[in-house]
Amino acid sequence: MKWRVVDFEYWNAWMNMALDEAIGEAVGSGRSPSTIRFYGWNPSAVSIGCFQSIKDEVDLEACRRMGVDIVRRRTGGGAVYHDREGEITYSVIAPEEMVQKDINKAYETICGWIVDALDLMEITANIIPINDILVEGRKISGSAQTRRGGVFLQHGTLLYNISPGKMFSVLKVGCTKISDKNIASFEDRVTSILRHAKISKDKVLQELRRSFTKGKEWEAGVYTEEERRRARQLVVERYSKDEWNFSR
Amino acid sequence: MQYITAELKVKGGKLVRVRVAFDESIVFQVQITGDFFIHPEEGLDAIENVFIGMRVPPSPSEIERLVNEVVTRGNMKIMGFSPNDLAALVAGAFA
Repeated sequence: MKWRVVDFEYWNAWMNMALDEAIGEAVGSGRSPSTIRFYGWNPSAVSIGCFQSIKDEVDLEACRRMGVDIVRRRTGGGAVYHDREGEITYSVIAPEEMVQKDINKAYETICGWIVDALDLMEITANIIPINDILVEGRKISGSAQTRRGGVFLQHGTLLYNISPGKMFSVLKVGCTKISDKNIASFEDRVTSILRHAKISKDKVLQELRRSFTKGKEWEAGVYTEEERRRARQLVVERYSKDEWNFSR
Repeated sequence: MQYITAELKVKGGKLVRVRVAFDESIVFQVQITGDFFIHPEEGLDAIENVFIGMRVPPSPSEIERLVNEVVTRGNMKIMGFSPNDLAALVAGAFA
């Protein structure tokens, strides 16, 4: 079956995570093809890893003040600030057997697609296991992975034009977290595409699509009505609920 | 009921925080949070349950043995910390 590639669209935080889950269910039951989607967050949002404590990681008052939404992911990993203008998020959703069984190798493969896309933009990047991509020692991309019901999901972010000040006003980054990294400050941790190449967001998306689809049979597609309906249901049942978002 | 918290940034790994609820003799609950990965994700509940009813102060070798057991039984993969890191963190919190 051909891969489906869904072009960049904006959704809110709850719907973005619900779409990943709804697509996963449809892929798992064979009703939807393996899917690559690119998307943004409107309004800007923070997503936290499924094992994180929301109060430890997120400045809730700053989020309220700045109109930044918050959602807990189904994947592990760290808290991410998804700026409406400044980043691109991707998801790869496929039956487990289409992806390497070894978790690290699967990260390497998909993060390798991002490194290749950056290479097309003449930006040299390296994968730092488990799940980070760095340019000149600074993080430009992070990803997280889960496997449920025979379905593989990896989603991640690529920073396009980020203001570290804004990012670190909504995220609480304690000193312990960076204690093993040789960096002077939180702001030194991250970088974004525009710092390294003058390139439009559309061109970045074009290079990402080129790299993600290399060697694959694919076609451009949209979400099915069933996926949209199920995603809306998951927003109501899970992703908008304090019982989920504040569960840790 | 008393509470203690402790955190550890595993070298080359992830941040792990624990919050332990206990009285003078036993552990009632341990909550483990952080930016690590556990596959399957539901495995964290089983790991947290290991601590319930442990004598205070808990022994690091017992924690490590029991966590290793549930990880093996649940066919779990933990990325970002090891059972040994967790044992040292929880036992160290009582030191």
